[in-house]
Amino acid sequence: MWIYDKKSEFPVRIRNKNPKLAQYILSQYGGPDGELGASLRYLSQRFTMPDQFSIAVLNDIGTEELAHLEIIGCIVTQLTSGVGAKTFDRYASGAYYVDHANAVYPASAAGVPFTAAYLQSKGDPIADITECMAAEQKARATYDNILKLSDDPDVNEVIKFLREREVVHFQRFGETLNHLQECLEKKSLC
Amino acid sequence: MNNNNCNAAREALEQLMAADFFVIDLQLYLDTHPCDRQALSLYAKAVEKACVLREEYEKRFGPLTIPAAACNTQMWTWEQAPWPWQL
Repeated sequence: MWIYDKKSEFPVRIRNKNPKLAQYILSQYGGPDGELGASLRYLSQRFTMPDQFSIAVLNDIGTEELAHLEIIGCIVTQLTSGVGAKTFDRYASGAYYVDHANAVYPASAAGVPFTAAYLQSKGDPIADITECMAAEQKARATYDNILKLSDDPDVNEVIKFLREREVVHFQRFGETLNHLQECLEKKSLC
Repeated sequence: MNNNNCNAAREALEQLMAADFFVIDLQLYLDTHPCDRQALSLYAKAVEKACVLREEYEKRFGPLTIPAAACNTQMWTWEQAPWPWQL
């Protein structure tokens, strides 16, 4: 169960329009290492976690990823709202405009639609948490790439916040992995 | 909303966002450090501060959650506050 809170986790106020940058950032909406995949991965994996500790971590990080999905949607829509077809085309985003106009659609930067094949839910706590840790690093690397491509300070401020969260989540998943390994050694998991 | 009111709303919302973010970050920390007493007491204070800021914001600019919208029995006010991408 979730209750919607009518505010983003971090303020998004982008002054300039830039459909090309929007298309790059869209990858964190519906791309291979994006926030939609992250939230679905953690919220699905939590059902087969062996104890309250690991369920809580996946539940709470999965919930925060939904907030990040919203932040990415806010950035993309603010970068493109009111931008016309010809401008999209001039910025090499005409192909996106043909299918989605100014809408936010879960796809990668290269236009591949979101697929659940980006994630696993393995029913094996060690395999699942290890995947979560890799996912956080891949998302962090994607944000690094976006920061190399973007010179919009309004956008970069938000991307830096999201990048930092990947680092924090990686830390929490690492602690969860240590916890699970200790439990396995003590044979205290059911 | 006029410009001044808009700025005041944004400022109040950003204060609440910062306070709520501190709560989220501490919550994740406590998930993996459930016995850290210092963090527990910080968490209680952070939640209290965020509650006060939320109440102040909602009183002036409209509800942020559906339960808060239900407090007004005169009219449906859910649409009043802007959505996150409209700031």
